[in-house]
Amino acid sequence: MNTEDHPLPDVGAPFVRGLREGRLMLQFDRASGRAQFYPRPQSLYGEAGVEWREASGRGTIFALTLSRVGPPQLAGAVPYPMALVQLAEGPRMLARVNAPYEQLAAGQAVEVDWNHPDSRRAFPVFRPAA
Amino acid sequence: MKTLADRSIAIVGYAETKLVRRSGRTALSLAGEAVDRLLAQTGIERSRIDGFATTLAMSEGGNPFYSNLLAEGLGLSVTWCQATEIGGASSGGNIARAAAAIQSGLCDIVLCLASDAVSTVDRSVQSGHRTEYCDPAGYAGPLSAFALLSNVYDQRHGLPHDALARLAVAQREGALLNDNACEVLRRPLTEREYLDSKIVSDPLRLLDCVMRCDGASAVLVMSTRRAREMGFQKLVHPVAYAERINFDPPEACGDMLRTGFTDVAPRAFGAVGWKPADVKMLHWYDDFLIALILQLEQTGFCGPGEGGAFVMAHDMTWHGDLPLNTGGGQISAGQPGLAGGGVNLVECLRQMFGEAGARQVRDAGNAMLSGIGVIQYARTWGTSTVMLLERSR
Repeated sequence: MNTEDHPLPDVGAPFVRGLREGRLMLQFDRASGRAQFYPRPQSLYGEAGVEWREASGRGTIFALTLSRVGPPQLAGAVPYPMALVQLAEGPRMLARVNAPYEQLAAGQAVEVDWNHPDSRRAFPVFRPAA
Repeated sequence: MKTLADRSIAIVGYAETKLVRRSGRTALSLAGEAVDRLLAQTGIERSRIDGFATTLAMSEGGNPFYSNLLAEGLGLSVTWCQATEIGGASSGGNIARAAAAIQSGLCDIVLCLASDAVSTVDRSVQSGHRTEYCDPAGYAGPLSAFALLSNVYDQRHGLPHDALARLAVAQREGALLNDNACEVLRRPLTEREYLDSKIVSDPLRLLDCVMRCDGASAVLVMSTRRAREMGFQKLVHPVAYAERINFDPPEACGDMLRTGFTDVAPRAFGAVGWKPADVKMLHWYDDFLIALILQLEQTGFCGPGEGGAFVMAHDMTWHGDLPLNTGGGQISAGQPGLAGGGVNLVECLRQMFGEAGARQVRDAGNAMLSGIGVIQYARTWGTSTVMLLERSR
């Protein structure tokens, strides 16, 4: 899905706007500071509400697969490594990792690859951390 | 549920269509066939049915009037009607909902239906995180989630490839004896063929996953008192049921291998004072083989990481010491979309009614049915259910 072809999501609008600017925006609990993803209308951690802040864009690979199948817009990109990235701020994010699968492993440090066109257009693509 | 342990609710009949890949039919057409068989089997008049619960159908997409229109299409006039959309857990969930509706006086005799022609046409659209954050990220459907879950299991315990192969072959043995299983799946399978099957998303193999098909099932539920009045001889009682939707919501960064089954299994067992060793056979939701390993570990049959060893230490074929999904399960009979839970449910009932023919389990006096539904964001499944059933004494 190309976000340029779709209206901004409602609750997640700051996240999508952030991608276009090369910034990873997350929701944080106003009281405890715990981060959550995906964006929700309330905090998962209390009733103090959420605020949006820029996140580091860094994390580690929590789970990893080489997907030999993909959604229609990525049919030409298979196979591609896909991971649950444990963000430095806490929550997990499902994302592709732009690197040879053989060079990736659980626990490895990754960061958002803002040079990848899909990161700004559709969804963050990660790469091994520099 | 508090009100099942007294055996006051009875299932008096069941029916299903053959599972078919790309039948070209509709959910209504398949439903009509299943209901016709149910009426013939139970001898009940359609006009006596005054309650109706159905699963949704992916082939019917977002029809906002689905259950109502299905009732109309089937010629039912009811005082209670609902569609249940807890994914694959809906078929078992409907038995519990029917029980609650009967006990609260909303209706008397309930038809629980599951029908979907998803392999003919899939009109389903999931709004929310699936379209906003999963599809753009490269998510390829439930198999992506189960591949990542399998990877987490592999990191922590090591994937029990030998046990997964054993399960695949054991269930296939049942499908070979099940005339209603998808024909394309009714060929013998060896452990080697399972192990050599194509990787779809590492470490998930093609034969770890269900194949979608079309099909329908129908079950008739009423009070035990009414069932006796109507002269039904064979009854199956749902004696315990527990359901959990969205287990442990703040744990988006917690233990992915701990699911709602750690909650629902103790609740269901506790309601009737059973323990896993009391269960005669398992009819467990099997969209992916790894889900069976996790259910063994999370419902008390063994500890974390011991699922593979448990499988290897038991014979889980229809003639074994702990039979599992004796008609092939969804893995080897096919998954008729959102009606998939009906495959497990109907086989469970067929065994308990003693009507499973060449694959009849010797001691089918009780059973444990499970349901799994919906995929959570970056986690596992959203719904976990357990139902315990017992044949009337």
